[in-house]
Order: sequence, then structure tokens, then C-alpha cells
Amino acid sequence: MPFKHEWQSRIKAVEREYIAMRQAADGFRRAALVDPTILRGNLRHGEIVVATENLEGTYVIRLFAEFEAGARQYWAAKWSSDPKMVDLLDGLAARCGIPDTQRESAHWVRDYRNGLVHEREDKPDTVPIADARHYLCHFFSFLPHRW
Amino acid sequence: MNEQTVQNQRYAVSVYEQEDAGGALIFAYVPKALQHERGPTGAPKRAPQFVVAVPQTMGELSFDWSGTPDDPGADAREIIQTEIAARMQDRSTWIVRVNALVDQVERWAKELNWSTRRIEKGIDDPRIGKHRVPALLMQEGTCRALLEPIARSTPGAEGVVDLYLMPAYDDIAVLFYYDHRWNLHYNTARGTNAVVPAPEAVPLSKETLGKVLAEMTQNAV
Repeated sequence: MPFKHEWQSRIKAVEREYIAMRQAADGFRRAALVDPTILRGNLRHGEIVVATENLEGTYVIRLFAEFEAGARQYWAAKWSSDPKMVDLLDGLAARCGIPDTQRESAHWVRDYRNGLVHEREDKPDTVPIADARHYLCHFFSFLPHRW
Repeated sequence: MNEQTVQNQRYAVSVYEQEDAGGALIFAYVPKALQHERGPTGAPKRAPQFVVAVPQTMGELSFDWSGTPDDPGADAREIIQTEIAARMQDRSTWIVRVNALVDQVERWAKELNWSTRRIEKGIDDPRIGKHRVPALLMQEGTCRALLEPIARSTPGAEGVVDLYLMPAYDDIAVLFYYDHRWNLHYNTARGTNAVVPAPEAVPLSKETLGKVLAEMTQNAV
């Protein structure tokens, strides 16, 4: 899928999936308070609470994965190497003329995603999913139309 | 046959395109009741699968059963072919509807002095399979917008198309097809659709589109 817009569209689609699951999870959480018999499989209400609280972060990880897959596909098509993500962002910024503002925003999302995936002492600043999609789609927009 | 009727039927259906089938759509039907049956040893039994290829051509539909692993029998073939015909009709209706929308919006955008460019959007729909429809990029000065088809069907509407502020895919408006026309649900608040109240709907017209595009231009950063 070497089309820039298709990758951006996939990033956006993850945000839409999150919106769907946000509404479903919140509805389930409320319904389970009113009628705990809807909880199956030894599920406890507290676990729903934790799941709903972690939902946005979970989808930020998926959103970033789509972004990374697209960015790596472009990089591999052009330069046939497999850099670390931090270097991939800087390398793309240098080669595609991506302004510092967009490069730093993408790093901000990367750092937040790393904080979600790996245990760390210092907790990175939270990036809401709408902001993450905004930053990553904007960064991606500097790539060529197709490759 | 409406979608609800079809969903209540007795087959699990998947739809896909196969390159070596010359672009034909492949419909695979598996009887729901037999999907999870187990044999005497407890191992899952192989469920019968009825596979039919339907060429994507204009005019009368043809059904190629030559690749089916199992024969459903004459009666079931008839039922399946009728059901596929309904799906193909839905596919055609949606693709024609989206193309007409993009044609219309492109004309209006040009009349409003926006430049336009079409791009292709791939959609994978569980009922009508993979297909490609046009999306429309619009630009005036530094302000860019994208009209992007999203889904053929959603509760209460027979088509969803998003309007984004580019390049970051910020939600601006959503077009829903109902009451035999496209209706514009305009998001005055920035951000995701989930966190703002449902916006007011107005019928899509050159005037309502122009108002949205003008506000985008004013607010674009």
C-alpha cells in the first residue's frame, strides 16, 4: 500500500475504532453498575473500570503502530535499512523537509507510547488520541504522495 | 431483501477479491449451524464451504460455481444466488452514490474557487466486499480539506462520508445519506466526533458546503 493517503486514512480509522469502543465500554460500565448479572466469566466491575481507563492508551499504541508501519514501509522502499524509531523519525524529518514542530510532536507521541509499553520511572506526558492522530497524520503528510 | 434479513440467514459469509479469478468477487458461504461441530475424537469437523465467483461486469450477473469445495445442492444454490444478487445491488448502489457525491462536491468546490484532486480510497465492507471509491482533496490557499468515504451503511443512514481538515485529518463534518439525500452534520468544535454533542444536520447543498469551507478557511492554522 504505497499511498500516503491510505496510511493516513488507516491512522484515522484507529481513532474512529477507539471512539466506537469508548462509547461501548462506557455504556457497559454504566450498565454493569445497574445490573451486575450482565458480568460473565468471573468478571468484576473493577476490571471494567481499569479497562475503560486504559482504553485510550491502548488505542494510542495501535495508532502509533499503524504510523510506524507506514513510515517503515516508505523508509525501506527508499533506503533499505531498519533504523530505531527515534532515528526513523529524525531521518524522515531530515530527508522529507519535515519542520521541527512536526518532528517534535511525533517524538512526543513516540515517547508517550513508549511509556505505555515499557515500565518507566518517569511517566511521560499524556497525549490524547485526537492529538496523537493530529500530530502523526501531519508528520506523515510530508512524505511523497506515493512510493 | 434487506440487510437485516440477510444477517438473520443461516450462513456465515465472507466476500473477497481474488487476483487469479480475474478480479471476480468470491463469495464463501459456511452454514452457521455446522461451523463448530466436532467429530467422534473431539476434533473440529470440517464445515462445508460453498464458494461462488461473480465477475464484476455490467449487466446480468453470472455465477461460477466451478471452484466450490462442496456442492450446496440446487435449492441452496438458488437461495445463495438470490442473496448475492442483493449484495451486488447494494454494492452498485453505494459506489454510484459515492461517485455522484464526489462529482457534485467537486463541481461546487470549483465554483467556489477551490482547486480539487481525486484520490482513490479502498474500503473493505463485510457485506459487499473490498472496493475502491473516489475521495476528493480540495484546496484554497493553504487550507486543504478531504472528502473521504467511510462506510456504506450505519444505523439510520445508508452511507457515511467524512470531511476533514488536512493535513492532520481533523474532523470538520460528517455527511450521512438518509431521506434520499446527503445531510451535512457540521462539527463546530474541533477534535473527535465522540467528545462533542451531535451536531445539527442540514441538507448538503452548494451553500451549506460553502459555509463549512469558508469557516475552515477562517479557522485554518
